[in-house]
Amino acid sequence: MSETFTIKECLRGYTTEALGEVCASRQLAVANRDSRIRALEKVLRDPLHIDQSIKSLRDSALRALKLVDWRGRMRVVDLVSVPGLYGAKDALEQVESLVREGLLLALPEQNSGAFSISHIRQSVTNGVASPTVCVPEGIARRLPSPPLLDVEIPESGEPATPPKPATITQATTEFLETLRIIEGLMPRVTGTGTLHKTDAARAYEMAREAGLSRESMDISLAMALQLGCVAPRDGRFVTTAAANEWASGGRPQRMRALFEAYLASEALPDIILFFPMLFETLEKHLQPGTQRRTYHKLLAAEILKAQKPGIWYSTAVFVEAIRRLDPNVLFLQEPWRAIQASVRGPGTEWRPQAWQAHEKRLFTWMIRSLLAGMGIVELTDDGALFRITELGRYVLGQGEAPAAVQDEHHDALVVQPDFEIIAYLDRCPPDLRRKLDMFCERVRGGMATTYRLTQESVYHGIRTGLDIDRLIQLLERSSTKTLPSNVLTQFEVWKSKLSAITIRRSCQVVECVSAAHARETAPTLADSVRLGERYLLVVGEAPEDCAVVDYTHALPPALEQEEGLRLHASWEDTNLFLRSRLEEIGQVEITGPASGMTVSLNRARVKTEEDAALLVAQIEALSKGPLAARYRLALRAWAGEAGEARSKTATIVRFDDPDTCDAILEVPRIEKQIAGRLGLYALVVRQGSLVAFKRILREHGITMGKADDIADPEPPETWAPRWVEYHSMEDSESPARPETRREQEEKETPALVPLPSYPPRIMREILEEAIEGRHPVLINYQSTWSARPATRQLNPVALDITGSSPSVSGHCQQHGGARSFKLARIVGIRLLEDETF
Amino acid sequence: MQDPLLLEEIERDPVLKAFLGERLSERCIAVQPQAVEDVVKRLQTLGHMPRVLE
Repeated sequence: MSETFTIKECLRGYTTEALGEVCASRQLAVANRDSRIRALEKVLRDPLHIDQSIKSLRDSALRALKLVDWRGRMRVVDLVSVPGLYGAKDALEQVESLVREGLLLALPEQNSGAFSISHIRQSVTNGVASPTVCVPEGIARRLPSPPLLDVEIPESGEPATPPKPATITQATTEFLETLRIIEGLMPRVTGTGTLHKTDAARAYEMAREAGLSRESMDISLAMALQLGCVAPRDGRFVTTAAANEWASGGRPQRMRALFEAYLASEALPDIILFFPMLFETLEKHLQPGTQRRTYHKLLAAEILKAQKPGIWYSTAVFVEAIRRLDPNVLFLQEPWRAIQASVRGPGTEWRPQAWQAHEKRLFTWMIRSLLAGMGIVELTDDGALFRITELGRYVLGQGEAPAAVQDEHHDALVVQPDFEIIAYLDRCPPDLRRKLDMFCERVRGGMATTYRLTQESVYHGIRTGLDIDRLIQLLERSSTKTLPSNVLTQFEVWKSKLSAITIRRSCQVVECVSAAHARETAPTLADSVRLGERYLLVVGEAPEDCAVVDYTHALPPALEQEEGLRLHASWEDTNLFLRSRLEEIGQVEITGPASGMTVSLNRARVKTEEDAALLVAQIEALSKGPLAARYRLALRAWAGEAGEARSKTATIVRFDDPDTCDAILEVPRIEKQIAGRLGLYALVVRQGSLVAFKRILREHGITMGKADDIADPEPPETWAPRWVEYHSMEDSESPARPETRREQEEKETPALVPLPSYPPRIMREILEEAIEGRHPVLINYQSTWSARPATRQLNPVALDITGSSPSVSGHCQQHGGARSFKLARIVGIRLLEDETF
Repeated sequence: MQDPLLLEEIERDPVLKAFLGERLSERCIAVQPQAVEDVVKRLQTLGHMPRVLE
């Protein structure tokens, strides 16, 4: 029964007429709607009634109920489209009958009281919204295991030469190779959960080198994802501890896990393989989350379950059995399939042709390649006959696990003094192969695979969660002779290196007011560790009288402007990374533990115009508000860019609006009278030219009055933006409606990738390297119009350090066009060394 | 760090310097959380094998 709805809630969603039909099937003579609901609820909870109903069910009905119960709930259209799984001749009639008997209940939809039995047929034939059904809990509990499908494949005679049993299953090798590739490459994941195109190409290349086909890797990856052996983390596929657990299991358990993962996985690598031209359309009709998505695999497995182990069957007859049970297993009966398949044959001839060309090949491959690779079936040399193995019987859920073959071999490896390891794969259990793949570099593949132990490879193994002592034990146990002494010595060196540096992630550090306070607090906190004089590493709740040190944001804006050329960060705004960044700007003063930090700009730090620009970017990145002009001026002046101030006695004429000023400047030969412009409204008249200038003004209808105050009525901050706007100097991204833009950006902002933060000086070096090597970079950019930073991938082409705001330009992948980014607003950056553009 | 001298050596490295914050003690220093993988990579290049604990 669904977790959400009770029997009563479901029945309340029925029409009175539908309730009447269910009551009639149960021979309940109740007229009133509420009485019908009460009576049915009672019957559907009564064990005697339930057992009686179940006894009278046909096998196919029992299988259908089990299927719905296994999935929890199913849409009717989904249930009737997989008739092969329960072997119904008329699936629709069967579902109607089960609903009419109350063994399947329709879940209440939005319109209460709207469900009628006729709705089932309408929803399937007319394609309207399909009701969802479930098995009431009381009934589900009492359902017996349904009999296997009644599909008997005729036995074939014994082959002349029976096959030799394989010691290594192909599926194990393919799965281990796939895990090794994922581990070594850590490929990026796209938004749809698939391999990133560039990394996929590299992964397939690695697979090819290891003797693995692209399809085999896709299928193994689908199974690994389903089993949780591979999972996406921080935008990349990585292997998990489940992979090691899988490798350490017995062979039957490993194969069963793989097969069940294959059946449950909604990835469709097998469909891509056999329906490359139809795949996109087929996928539309195999909706994720529906039974249709995995129907073809489950149907083959159910038919196989119904066969006897050890008996030889014809592969062709097995495939034919699938076609007989449901020829529409992959939409063969749908008209669009004919169009998509571009079949030109007359009439219905295309169906058998398409079955031969696609479905038959798919199911034959399933037996000969996939199931044989897993050891579920054995094949004759030509693949024409197969038989289910003891292992296969267990994997299919039909018997006990066969006695485990001894997995550990004492002479599987030869460890040489030059740190090379030769592994004989026929003697290596998967657990050992997996650990070798993780701890060693593979030099050569094949039955006698050669590995090499290096510091990097051992470190890689350690980082994936394995223990170095266990590796040594494993090597000792599996080696033909004792490990060479130089190898053991090197292992001791690596062990000591491993304990030299420890990086703790996500730990909670608190700062105490004084060293005495830290000394007193530490013993009161369980598992706390004192760090230096005033810091404590704590577990759980931080004490109230200590400040939690937030280091999750590398550098939040902290600086406020002070008098002169000083900037101050209050204690509340400082963090563990601010001081080192401020020391790059100038002289840092700290007067006391809670007084914050003050930095004074230092002339000695500025040698060139570029130094000044980078320092401005540095200060802007750390400032809480816009940076006052005096800081820029001082830095530019120290770089020798500001020039000297000059004095002159001048006649200044001021106008009421900038348009007049502009118009006067456009008068021909006016430069004889005008020395220059002063701000938005005023012109400077040349000495001795005032009379001539007055005459020109008069000619243009302007009279001149005398005034003592000709200064601008407002400060430059007020009129300068108007000036800029007037001259259209603002960039095209100026915010017409900042709020709307901000809201829109917030909606569009992708997830933030954690990236390290650098001062602009180092950022410049990274960008220069990227431009030179044509490498893209990932940046976390805090746009003016966004509330929070967003991650963007940029193909940088030019770096401008000479302007007032150092910036980098290039192609932004998120915007799909050229963009400029201020260095001061880049809060994190990473060079993608492995990629080029 | 097990050895304070090792910390001094690491602090002097121009690449690592950008990722490091204040010293909390003679054997402990803050690392930008976003840069842990970069720090590990650099330390590896310098021949170290840092353990990363969650």
